[in-house]
Amino acid sequence: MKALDKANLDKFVELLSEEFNVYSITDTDFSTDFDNNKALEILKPIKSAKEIVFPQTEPLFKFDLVGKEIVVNEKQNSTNLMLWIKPCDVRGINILKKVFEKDVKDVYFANKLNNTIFVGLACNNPSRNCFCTSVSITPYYKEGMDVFATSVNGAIIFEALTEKGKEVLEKVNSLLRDATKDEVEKAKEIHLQAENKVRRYNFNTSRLTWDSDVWRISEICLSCGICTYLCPTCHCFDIIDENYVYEGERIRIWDSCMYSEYTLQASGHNPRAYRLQRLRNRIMHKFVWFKEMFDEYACTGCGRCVSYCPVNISLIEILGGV
Amino acid sequence: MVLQLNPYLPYPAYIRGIRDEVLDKRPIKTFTIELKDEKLMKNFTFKPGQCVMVGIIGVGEAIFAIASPPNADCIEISVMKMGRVTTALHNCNVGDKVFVRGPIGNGFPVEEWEGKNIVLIAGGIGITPLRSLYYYICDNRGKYGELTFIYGARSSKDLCFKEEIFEIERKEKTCHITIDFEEEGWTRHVGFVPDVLMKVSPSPKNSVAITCGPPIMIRYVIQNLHKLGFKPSQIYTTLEKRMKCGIGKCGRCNIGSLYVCKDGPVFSYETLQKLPEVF
Repeated sequence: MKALDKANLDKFVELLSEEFNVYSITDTDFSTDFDNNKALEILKPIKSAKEIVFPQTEPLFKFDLVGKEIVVNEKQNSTNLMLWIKPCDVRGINILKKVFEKDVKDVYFANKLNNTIFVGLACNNPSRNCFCTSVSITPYYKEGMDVFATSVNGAIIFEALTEKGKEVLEKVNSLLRDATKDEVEKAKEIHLQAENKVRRYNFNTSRLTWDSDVWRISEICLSCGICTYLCPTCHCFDIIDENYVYEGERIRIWDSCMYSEYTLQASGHNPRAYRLQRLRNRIMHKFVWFKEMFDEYACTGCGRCVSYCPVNISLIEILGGV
Repeated sequence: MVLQLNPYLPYPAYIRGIRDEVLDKRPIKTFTIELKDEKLMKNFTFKPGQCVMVGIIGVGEAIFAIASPPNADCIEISVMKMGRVTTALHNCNVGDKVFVRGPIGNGFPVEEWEGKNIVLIAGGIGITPLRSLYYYICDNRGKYGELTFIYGARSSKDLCFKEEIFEIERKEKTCHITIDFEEEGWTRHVGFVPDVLMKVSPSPKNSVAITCGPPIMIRYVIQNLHKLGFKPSQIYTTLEKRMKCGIGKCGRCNIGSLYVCKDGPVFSYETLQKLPEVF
C-alpha cells in the first residue's frame, strides 16, 4: 500500500488534473471547483454522485427540424476522476449499473461509466442519518472503486483495486511513499470505529405490504420529489424533444415517481394518481421489488432522503427502524 | 429482431398510407408505416401483440400496438387522437417522415396456444393487437381449434376496421359485434362486451381467451370469463401504461416488479392476479 502525506495534497490534485477532469466533494455536489482540504473533510455533498454517470439532463441525439433528420454526433468523452467519493455513493452507482445493464444495455450510461475513475475514500465520521450498515454495506465498502483510500492522521493511504486504479497511482507515484505498518493497522481500526458509529437498525421489510398502515405517512408528503432527486439509486427519467429554431435535441431528463404526471396517460387515466400510491410504489420498489429482481435493496443508506425531506418523512421510520 | 446498438436511436420511416377508421370527437386513423431501409423492413419481424415506439421529430414518441400481422410488408398502427404525439400523427400526411423503435414487448405466446380454441374479446381501439393475432391465426389455421371473436364499441361509428370486421363476420361462424346502445338499423348485438360474452358463453374446454380494451372492460370480461369456467392461466390480456424508454429503464410502466414495456404488454391473468393495482 502507498501513502500520501497530506502536505502534498495540493500537488497531488494538480498532478491528477493534468490528466483527468477531477471532480470532488463540495458542500452541495461533486464539482471540478472544490477546495482540496475541505473536500477531504466533507462527509458527503447534498446531491449524490449519480450525476456523473447519469446526468440530470443528457442529450440522446440532435435533429434537424427542417429536413426532419436525426443527427448523431459521436462525442469523445474525456476521462473523469471522482476524488474521495464515499462508499455509499459508489454503491449507488453499482445499483444503477444493474438497472442500466439488465437485458438491454444503455449505451449512454455505459460510456460514461467506462470513462470514469473512482478514487474512493473510507468514511471516517458518519452522520446521524447514515444507516449504510443496515442495508448491507459498510463505511469501507470498496466494490466499484478503482482506488480505495483511507485518511489516517497526517496521511492518506491508497490501495489500487483495478488496473485503472494502478495507472492512476502510477501517475502520482512521485508524491507517494510506502505506507508504514502502523498506518495500515490504524486504517483498519478507523474502519471498524466508523462502522460502529453508524446507527444500526433492524429493518423489517415484511411490514411493507400493499395494505400496510405504514403508507399513511404519505398524508404529509408534498410530492416535491426531493427524495428522488437526491437519492443515489433513483433512476427514473423522461425523454423529451427540445426544439430551437431549426434544430432540436432529444434529451433524457430525470423524472420523479413522486409526481402525479409521471404515470398520467394521454387518455387521462392515471394508475398512480394518489400520493399514497406513489410513496408506496417508491418504497416497495426499493425494498421489495428490487430485491425480487436483483436480490438486494435499492438503497445505500446515505440518509439523504431523511435529512432533506421538507416534511420529515423518514425512511428509517417507514422501515420500522425506530 | 435485435434492437440497435443504441436502444434510444429510432429507425427512419415514412407514412405509406393513412386510413380514417373513426371520425367525430374521438377520431381514429390507421397509419401504414414503412421503414426507409428496405433491408431493415424485411428483417423487422415481430410477434402479434408486440408494440412499436413511433415518434415525430420535435414532438416525441408514443407506444402503439402493432395492428398488422407479422407477415405484412409494413407496420400498421391505429391511433386515437388523444395527446401530443397522437395529435401530431393525425396531422401528418402520406409520405411524411416518422421514426420507429422496436419491436417492443413480449407478444402473445402463440406457440403455447397451438391446438387450442381461441376466444378473442376486444373493445374499441383495443382491437389492434387482436387484429394482428387474428390474421396470424388465419395464416396458421391448421394449428388452432375453433375461433370465437367478440368485438364491441360505443356506437356503430366507433367500430374500428369496419369493413374487415364485417368481412370476418361473414367468414367466421362465431363472430359477434356489439354496440353499447341501440341504433336505428343495427341488427347485431346491443350491450357491453362483458354481457355479450355471457350471451355467447364460449366453452372453457381446451380454450384460451385473449382480451384487450379499456381497463374497465378488461376487468369485467375477466370476471365473466371466471363465471364461464375459464382458469386464470387460460386468460390473457394486453395492458397499456405511459411509457418512455420501452426497455425497462425509465421506470414509469411498472406493476410491482414487472415492467409492462419489457415483461408485457401481454400477461396471463395467472400472473396479473398476484400483482397489485394492475390498471
